[in-house]
Amino acid sequence: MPEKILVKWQKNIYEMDNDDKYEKLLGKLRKSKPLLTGTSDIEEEVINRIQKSPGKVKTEFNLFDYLFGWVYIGWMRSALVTVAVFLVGLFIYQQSLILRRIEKLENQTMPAGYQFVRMNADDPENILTLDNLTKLRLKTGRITIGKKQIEELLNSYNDMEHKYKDLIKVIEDDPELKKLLEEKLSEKNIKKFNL
Amino acid sequence: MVDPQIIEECRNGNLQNFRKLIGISSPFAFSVAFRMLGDEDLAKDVVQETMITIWEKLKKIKSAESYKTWLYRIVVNKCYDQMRIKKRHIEERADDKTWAIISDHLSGNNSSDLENRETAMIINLLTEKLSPKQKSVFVLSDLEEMTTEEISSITGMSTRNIKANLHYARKNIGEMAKKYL
Repeated sequence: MPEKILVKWQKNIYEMDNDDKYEKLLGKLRKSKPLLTGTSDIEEEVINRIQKSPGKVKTEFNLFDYLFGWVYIGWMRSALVTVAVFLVGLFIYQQSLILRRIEKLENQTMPAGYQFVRMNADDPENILTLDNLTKLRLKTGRITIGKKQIEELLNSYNDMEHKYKDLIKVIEDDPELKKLLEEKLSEKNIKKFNL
Repeated sequence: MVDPQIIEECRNGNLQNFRKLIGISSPFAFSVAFRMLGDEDLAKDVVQETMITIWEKLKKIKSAESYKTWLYRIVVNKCYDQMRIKKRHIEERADDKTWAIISDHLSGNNSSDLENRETAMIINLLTEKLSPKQKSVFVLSDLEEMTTEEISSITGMSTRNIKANLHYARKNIGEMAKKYL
């Protein structure tokens, strides 16, 4: 028999012997059921301990456990923690988003009547002008207009008023021009223009 | 294992029937506890604690059929607690004489069953390097001869996890058997 095969055969025999030992050992352990002696002592001890604390059984059912007992389920707890973390994250993100938008809007807008007085407090002409404007057109109470828009409106209104006054003065200084204009206005039936 | 009627009576607080339940359940509980802990006194303590827990929580059990699984689950958990509390040192080492007796048993010269002391010694020696989970899987599967499904419902471990633990336990115990026997 070649040496290689002989070694392999010997190894198998050795392993079989060990497996056999292991199986025998297991078989012996299985067969030898541990013997419990003094069962009556255990019975007595258990019954005594139960009788010493009789209330425990009656309090076993409680509403809290019945309603919230499910929180002790492992997967339920981890799922709840995940959801809670997600919700807190979402809440923080939303709050920061809202705050940023409020800040942005605050920079963009102003309440018309209130802001007018504040920004043009040193210019009585502007106060009167806007007061007239709001009385005439903005009767709905508080409105929201851009600060820049109001400035542009006031400037163009004042500019137009100056030009109007200059024009009236030029017309009044020249009677021929005044007469000509009155004729033209009456021809076109324009009564609102008061010279 | 247990007559469902007895369990129903115990649920209603009948202590006399609970005595019967202790009598029926204790040997099963003791067998697992003893094989897991390798200590007779500790195993008896576990049986006592298990029976008290059963009395306290008997109303939670869904059906009498699931009583056996429930009993073993409590026993295994109590054994885990014991292993955690008392990381036992094997106080009683097998001497040459004892090994001779054990070898005698295994060689077939002695056909009588192992005594509790001998069983404890062998189990302690063979399983000393195993984790509590591996030990429980080995005891339930190879000594108590339970199926993987039963072990899964008792220990809460997945089938794959049980197989992996069992493989490691068998390998380790096989090596110990080669070394000592």
